[in-house]
Amino acid sequence: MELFITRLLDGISNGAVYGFLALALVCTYRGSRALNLAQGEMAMICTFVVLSLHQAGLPLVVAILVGVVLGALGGALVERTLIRPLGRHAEYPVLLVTIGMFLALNALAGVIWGGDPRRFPSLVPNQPDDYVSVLGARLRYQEILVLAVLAVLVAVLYSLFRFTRVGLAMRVAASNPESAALLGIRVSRVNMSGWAIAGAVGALLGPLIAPSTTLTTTMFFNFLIYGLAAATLGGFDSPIGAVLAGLIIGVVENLAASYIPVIGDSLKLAVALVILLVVLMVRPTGLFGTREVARV
Amino acid sequence: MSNRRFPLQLDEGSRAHIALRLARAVLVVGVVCGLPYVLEPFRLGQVAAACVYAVVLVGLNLLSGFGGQVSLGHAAFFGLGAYITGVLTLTYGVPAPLAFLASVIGCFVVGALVAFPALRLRGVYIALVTLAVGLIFPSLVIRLDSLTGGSAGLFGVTWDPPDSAYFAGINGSTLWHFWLAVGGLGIAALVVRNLVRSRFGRSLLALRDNEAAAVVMGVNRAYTRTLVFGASAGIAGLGGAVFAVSSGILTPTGFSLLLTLYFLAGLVMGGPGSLWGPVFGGFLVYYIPVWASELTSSSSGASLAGVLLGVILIAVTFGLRGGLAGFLRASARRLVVLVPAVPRPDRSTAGPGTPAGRRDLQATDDRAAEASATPDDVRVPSTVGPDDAPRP
Repeated sequence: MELFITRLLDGISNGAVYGFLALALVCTYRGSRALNLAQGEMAMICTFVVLSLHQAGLPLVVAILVGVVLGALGGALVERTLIRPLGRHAEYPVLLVTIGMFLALNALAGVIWGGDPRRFPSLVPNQPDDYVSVLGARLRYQEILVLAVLAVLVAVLYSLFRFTRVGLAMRVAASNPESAALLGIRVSRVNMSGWAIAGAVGALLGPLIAPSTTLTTTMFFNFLIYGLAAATLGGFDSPIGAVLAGLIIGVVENLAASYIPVIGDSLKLAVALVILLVVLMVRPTGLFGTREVARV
Repeated sequence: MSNRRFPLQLDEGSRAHIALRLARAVLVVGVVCGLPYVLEPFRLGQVAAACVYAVVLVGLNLLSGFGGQVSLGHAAFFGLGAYITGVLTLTYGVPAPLAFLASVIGCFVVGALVAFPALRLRGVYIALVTLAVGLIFPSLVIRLDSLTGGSAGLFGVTWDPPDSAYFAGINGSTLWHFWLAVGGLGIAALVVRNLVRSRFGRSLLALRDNEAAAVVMGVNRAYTRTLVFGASAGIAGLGGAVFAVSSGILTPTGFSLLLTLYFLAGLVMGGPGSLWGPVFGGFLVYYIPVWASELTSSSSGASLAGVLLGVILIAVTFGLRGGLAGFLRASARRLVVLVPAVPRPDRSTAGPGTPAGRRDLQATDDRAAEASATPDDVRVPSTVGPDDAPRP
């Protein structure tokens, strides 16, 4: 039982990270129909900047806030300069451009900060005995922080989409860009704000997980596939779905790893693959996605 | 007057055209055969390594350039081919040629299996499935460590050169690896060329350009898509097998996501949907990192190469959809324009009133002439590549 609780909590805290990244992916996909493979690398660059600012003497919280603002500006800049000019129905060119960004940003971080892993300071106490005991299992302060931030973020985004004019405009622009444009909504600007939100979410995620993963240029490689699997399971255009799906994947993979001996810790990633495949085969729109219907 | 001489007009099938094609073939064969005598062994090894990349790109090009499906998992097929050859020759003592065959067949089967979920999916989702396969492969290798050597790697994969005077010297193995890589590249390129020109290839191009129309016209979508995925993976597996015997060392980290992205970048730079594009791409993607590390200190060279590749990939996506091959084709079109031959009416089926003057009509049709300026490259719009090949 204690093992079960431990694995469940591990799964939830891993799943929070996947949901976090999936949330960022969904924010760009909703508007631009662009799958941003470079999402993780953009977040990684922001995290390095945060560490550099912190080492230059800025308090960590301020550094993170600066990083988030930079992430938002970066996301908006990328949308304006690299994505929008490709047009709306340009899935492959957009994919290639984000792959180019992936390669360039990943390598750029290596050029600037070197390839060695770095320790990243935590916002909350992160010593071995800084944990809350839950039914005999340990929930670290750091993990609680990630969960709390994620919950707040989801609440903020949900209210933004649900209760504000901007959010309404974003939902219209996502579901029917042509009609939205006729209603006087500047669709491209709405898409740009989607990228800005995604950039900010990524920049917030990086400093939250860096204390436990250490800061390296490859820290987001595996999270990317989990984030994509979560976004797919959630339906790619539903922020709430993405977060829930992230939690589901985190829990399933951890339970599978501990109770199915063949999988073990080394094949956890395969669990995400299987979930991704099953979802795509059975229900490509995911749990909360909207089905796309097109006239041929 | 001198301005008017170009582009030269050549009739397809005329003596001048045949001579031009023959000259090109002789040039290629001559360069390949001459390289071992011109280059020092170290440089020859680099060329061989670039050829290995080119083999994989030829396979990827079949799927992405001609088939219009993006794959983010070709490093996995490359790695699978390498590991099949490595494990079979090292652990089971299988002769290398048989191991090569097993690599190709194994990758073909796995590729066809991956194609099944891809059949139901479109665009970005196919990319997701292949991305997942690509990311899983290294961890699968580590998991099956009793077979593959795990993260420590697999050492000493070789294919001894045949017992002949040509391969006898100190540099015999380098020469042998060079010829293996060139041979693999030649076979892969010929297979793709013939596939694309066959009925199967026309089905493939039709599916890429307008899937609904192609299916209505009777193209078997499932068969074509599965076969092309398998063939593409099989060719990548051949590249992996050559890589295994020429590098001798296999580690799971060598087949990571980055390698797949390098492959894709190489294909886009070289020119997807053309026959020479992947060859150019293989050399570009191999030599850009080499030059970067020769220009700078070796440690930051690899990183600098990544930045370069990424920036070039973005620039090519924006400005040069045909890649290097498309650019060269457009440049060649300024010098020589080919006038396509008119299909001769078959006497048994042609109606009595086939107009005799067709040929003249056709010959003045500039658009037709431009459209098939170089018949060796099938130039049709590609979703990954040359939507609008640059015009002179």
